[in-house]
Amino acid sequence: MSFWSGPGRPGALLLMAFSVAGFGVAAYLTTVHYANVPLLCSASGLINCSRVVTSQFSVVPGTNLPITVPGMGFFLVSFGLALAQFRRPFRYSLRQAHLGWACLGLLTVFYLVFVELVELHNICLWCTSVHALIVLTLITTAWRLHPLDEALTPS
Amino acid sequence: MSKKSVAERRQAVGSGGGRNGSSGSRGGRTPSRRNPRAQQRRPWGLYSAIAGVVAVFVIVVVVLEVTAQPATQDTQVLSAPASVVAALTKVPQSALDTVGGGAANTPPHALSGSTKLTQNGKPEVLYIGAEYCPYCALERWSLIGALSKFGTFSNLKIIRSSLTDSAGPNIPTFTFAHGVTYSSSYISFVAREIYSNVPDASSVTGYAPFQTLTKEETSLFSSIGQDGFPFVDFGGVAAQVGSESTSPGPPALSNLSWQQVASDLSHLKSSQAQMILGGMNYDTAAICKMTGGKPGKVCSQSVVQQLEGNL
Repeated sequence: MSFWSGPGRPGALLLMAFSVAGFGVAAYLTTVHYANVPLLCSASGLINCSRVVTSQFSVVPGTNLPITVPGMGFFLVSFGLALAQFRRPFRYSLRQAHLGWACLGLLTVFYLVFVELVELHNICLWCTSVHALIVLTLITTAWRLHPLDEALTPS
Repeated sequence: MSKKSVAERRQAVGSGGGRNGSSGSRGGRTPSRRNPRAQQRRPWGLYSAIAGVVAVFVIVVVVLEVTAQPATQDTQVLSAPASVVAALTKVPQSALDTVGGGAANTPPHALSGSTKLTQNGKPEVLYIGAEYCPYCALERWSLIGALSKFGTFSNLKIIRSSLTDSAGPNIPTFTFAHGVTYSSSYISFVAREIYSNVPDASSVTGYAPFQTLTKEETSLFSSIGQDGFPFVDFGGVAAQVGSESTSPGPPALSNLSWQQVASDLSHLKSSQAQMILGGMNYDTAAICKMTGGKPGKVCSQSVVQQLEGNL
């Protein structure tokens, strides 16, 4: 059994990959916000990233902080949890914590998708990719709670 | 968890015994000898709960979408944000030089033999349009930018064009009515919004008639403007009939905010900048043609002189 394919490690690596990808997209959107440069995305019709990321919902309520900054924070924490699971694949509590964190992410996805579909009637593909990564993280963390998965034990 | 305990557990996994064989079960969460079938169980309750929450969310969104009232025409008339006005009226000359004619593919054309338009002894720019009209919505951005080089607007107001016009719905723009004034020592500016953006089923356009034209304006609107708007008569020396940009045209501004359009003006390759700044340069050239090149600091710009030659 190799270092990379040891018990629980492929799953942890997958979660790290989701985190890196999500962090990258969130960082790109944050850069676009502060650099005031055009977004690589359609700017008309239903798919209108520009409309979504410059709307009143694109900042943390009551602040001027783009919502992509907490998004980066989410994936940073997610990466940390995945890395911890990679190092300690038998620690069940880490998996539970990651699932809880992903559930928090899901609530955020609900809010943002609601804003896109109901309030703005526009969809941002970059945002959708972030939402997909959060959902994938949730599915993966939930799946890794299998009692037989490397004989996990509560700790 | 100590390294030793991890090693022990790994060993236990490797031998197929699991932790229960050595240290006992901690309830239903871990495999149990007394109930071997528990080892096969995934936390389906948890999965079901997550799936249920997602399903409820999807249902809520669908219900809200289905029961939502159809969007209604925005008829608000609000003061133009200072940042938007500044972005439009203080475009750097370097940006205008870079864009040149931009995407203005149907610019003003010179008039010959037409009566010179004047008011108060100054050459007159006559604008005729409608608040619901998407092409007028696009034209106003360029015209305000150009006119601001020769004078000053006060009390500018923002509105939105028709929500349903297939030529480009819900375009953020300005209005020349509702108390907007313009002063200049070089030119006079007369604007008529002959229809509002307030829906009116009894109107031929579907929008309520608004300002009226004088006989002279009606005559010019029919003869030169062919009863189409926007129509801009630059002192009888040049005229703009319809939109200055037809591709991509008004749809590029649909549903945007005024701030977004203003921001796009600094992205010179954007469709918005190419249409609005290109039109602004042509309008400036047309006004320079009617003022005889005054003021020099505006009309002597190479891009203005080049486009004036194209009229």
